[in-house]
Amino acid sequence: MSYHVFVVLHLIKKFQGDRSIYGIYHLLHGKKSSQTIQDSLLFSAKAFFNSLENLSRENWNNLIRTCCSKHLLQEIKKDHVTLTNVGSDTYLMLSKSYTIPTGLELTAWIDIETRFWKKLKMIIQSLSHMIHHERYYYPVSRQDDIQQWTKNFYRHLEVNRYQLSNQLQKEIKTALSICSDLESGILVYQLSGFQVNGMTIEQLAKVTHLSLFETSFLFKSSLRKLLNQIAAKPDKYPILAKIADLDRPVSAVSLTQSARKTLNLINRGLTLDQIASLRHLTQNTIEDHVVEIAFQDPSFPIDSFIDEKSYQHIQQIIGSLTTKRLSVIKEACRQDISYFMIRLVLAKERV
Amino acid sequence: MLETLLKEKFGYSSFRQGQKEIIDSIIHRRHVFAVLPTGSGKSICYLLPGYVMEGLVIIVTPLLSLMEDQCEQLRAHGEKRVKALNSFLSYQEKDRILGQLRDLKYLFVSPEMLQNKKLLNQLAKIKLALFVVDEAHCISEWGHEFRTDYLKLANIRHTLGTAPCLALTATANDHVKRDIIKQLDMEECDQYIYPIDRKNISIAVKKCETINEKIEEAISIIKMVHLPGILYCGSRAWTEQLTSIIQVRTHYRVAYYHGGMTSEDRILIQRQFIDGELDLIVCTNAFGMGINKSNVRLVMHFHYPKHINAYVQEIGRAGRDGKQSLAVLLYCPIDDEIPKHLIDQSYPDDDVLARIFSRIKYENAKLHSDELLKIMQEEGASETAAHFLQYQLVQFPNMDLDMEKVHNKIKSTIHERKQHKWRELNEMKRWIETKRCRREAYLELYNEQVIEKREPCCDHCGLNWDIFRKGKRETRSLEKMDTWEERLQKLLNNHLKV
Ligand SMILES: Nc1ncnc2c1ncn2[C@@H]1O[C@H](COP(=O)(O)OP(=O)(O)O)[C@@H](O)[C@H]1O
Ligand SMILES: [Mg+2]
Ligand SMILES: [Zn+2]
Repeated sequence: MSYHVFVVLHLIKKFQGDRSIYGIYHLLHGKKSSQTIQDSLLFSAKAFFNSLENLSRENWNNLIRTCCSKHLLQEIKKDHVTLTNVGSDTYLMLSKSYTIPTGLELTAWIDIETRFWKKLKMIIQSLSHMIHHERYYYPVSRQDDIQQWTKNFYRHLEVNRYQLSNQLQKEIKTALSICSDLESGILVYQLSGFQVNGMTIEQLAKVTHLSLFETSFLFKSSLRKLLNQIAAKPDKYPILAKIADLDRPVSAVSLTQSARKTLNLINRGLTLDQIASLRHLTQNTIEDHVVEIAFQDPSFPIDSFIDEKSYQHIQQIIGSLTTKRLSVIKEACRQDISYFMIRLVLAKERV
Repeated sequence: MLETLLKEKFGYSSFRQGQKEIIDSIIHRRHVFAVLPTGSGKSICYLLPGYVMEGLVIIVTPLLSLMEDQCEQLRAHGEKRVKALNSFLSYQEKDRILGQLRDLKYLFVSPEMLQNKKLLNQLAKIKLALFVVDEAHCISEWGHEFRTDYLKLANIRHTLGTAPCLALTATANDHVKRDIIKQLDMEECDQYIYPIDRKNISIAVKKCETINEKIEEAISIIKMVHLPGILYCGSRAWTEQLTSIIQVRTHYRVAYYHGGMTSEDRILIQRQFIDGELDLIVCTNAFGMGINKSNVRLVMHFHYPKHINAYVQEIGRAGRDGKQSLAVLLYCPIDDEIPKHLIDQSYPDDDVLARIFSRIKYENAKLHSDELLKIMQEEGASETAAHFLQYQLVQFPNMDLDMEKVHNKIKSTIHERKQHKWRELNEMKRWIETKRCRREAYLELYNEQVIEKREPCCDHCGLNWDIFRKGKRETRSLEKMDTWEERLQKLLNNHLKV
């Protein structure tokens, strides 16, 4: 429980009530929306993006409520909380005994980490069965594209399965050597293979006597370290590098799929109105996409959405305020300035 | 000969009760309605004809997990021409499967997927061998509320030609049977109804005063009797809570399972249970359908199900290997709140309904839109209730002509459905309260009689718990864990090689 409290206080402190608890939840849960991706940078909380994939909204809610009832947090308005004085003191105390695992900060590849992990699990499971001459097994991932990818993976390989499994084992051992045994164990024990069933994060938390949050963080920490190793020395880890497939352009990956579609239509000269009706989406959603694109791609032109004067006006207001809360900024701006414009400027300025 | 084929394709040397007769009817292009107990081998009844008849076998299956399990099982028998189609696949994946239909032998689909025009167009072009509805009781159980696509199956079947139709289930009382046959429009069918009585499962009900007492009872039973076991709960939260309590109080390997978990975690837990790495699985009713584990010794209910059909299905997961097994239902008065609440939650009440109708009228909301769902929930309908209502409304595309009439019509549908659910619930409760032999009491609901009573039957006939008591040796000690390097070796070194 205390580790959970530590994490909650740590995050709430970062966001200072500028985002709702659900905004923070989306971040932890790894929701790929323009808003969360921006928030993770605005509040330098990128390390936590996608760090608690299994967290349910309900559990997060309960946790916040518990902290409130212990007077560690106070609600400043609906769904927005900040630390109380007691909360700040408690946080200081807890930071003496708890830390956030270091590997979490290695965020260069977080866009592909989940997919990489799924692919790795499938390769190890299939390879493990292959070297034991067992053709049939229940795949750990039922995602069709992952299964298809696994098939293709073997099609383009020249080494035989025994060489492959030896090599892969060696690569994983070397790459994990920079992790603690605990981190490596949490990663490896999730893998399944011939006559071996992986464990869930929750089961691992039980056997390691750690909290669920810490176990998840340690896993993500080791996974990110692993990916970073691969990226730094792809020649040293040829098989892992092939599984990770890091060569794909990142900018294309980091847009949500829906935003990418919108971008294609913008490039073909359609207005936002037209795109919204063509795609049966609301204007709001399309605007979200535009903000996301502007944020991800600094060279994306936004002059068709906002004029120079308004841009400077908003820029000034933002500079004069200490908060990033949209409603406050909106209040301070001219009447004709929309939320959309403000978010565009925030995205462009990357504040 | 069919026996040879059975041996060649599946490795079984003889048919089990019912299989041959059913297959025979199907091959002679008769419609078949069949009730066979859980674990008796219903799948063979549609798999084997696939090798005899020309064309594709379509199997309509209610659950995603079930569909995938069946697919994997077939693949494990070396059959590659099998796919599962459901709404969760991406657009591209669906397209790919649609392109391969001609090369497939078995296609598992959800009833919702069968509404897809593209799929129907493709299906119209190829020959159909057999149209199967597995777990057919779902038609009656779910078709009327939130999965109304189940009610459209007959139409679809007719548009696809004249292939025979096979409806399979493990539990159907008279009402459910008639409903299934009517909804599938297969009045002229061969019926194979085998006793659902499972003599090797002993039945007991334990009454407790409070929840705490019930928890204690559950723990002492788990400690006492043979496992592996399944513990059914009425909610996700309860599965998690009970799991932690049992983990603290016993040394058994326990995990929970419910629909809120990620699909990957569900697969792991299910595999662990099937492979004997768990002693107890604490779950909602999301677990079990189609699960193939023969040595389950205990099925315990921490909360009772909404109707006796579900109860019979669930206890049927015990003792598939024919060995003596135990079903215990724990009851305390406060349990009655859960199903009451669930039934109420499934439908909008009169006030809410009226408010929704007036908003539809003034805001002119589109019937299919998500916006409508939002309006309903804003007015106080639960998610299930909103979906139910939307399905109902879509049945009246021209309702702006006479809103009042539609309003009343839906109101009476809700009333009927609620009455029906209450009747089923009361039947369940009466069974819990009965003083008679429990086996006789539930079989009566299926027009079945106990032919020869076998000891130990049920708590009212007298149950000697010692039969189920486990020996000393069965208590487990903690295993030492491998280091991560050793574990990796286990995975990636061939440890069978000498
Ligand atoms: N004729 C048979 N001989 C031996 N085993 C069989 C036979 N038919 C089916 N089985 C096995 O019985 C088990 C249960 O079959 P399944 O079709 O899943 O049951 P149901 O759907 O009726 O619950 C499976 O393991 C199946 O392989
Ligand atoms: Mg079955
Ligand atoms: Zn009896």
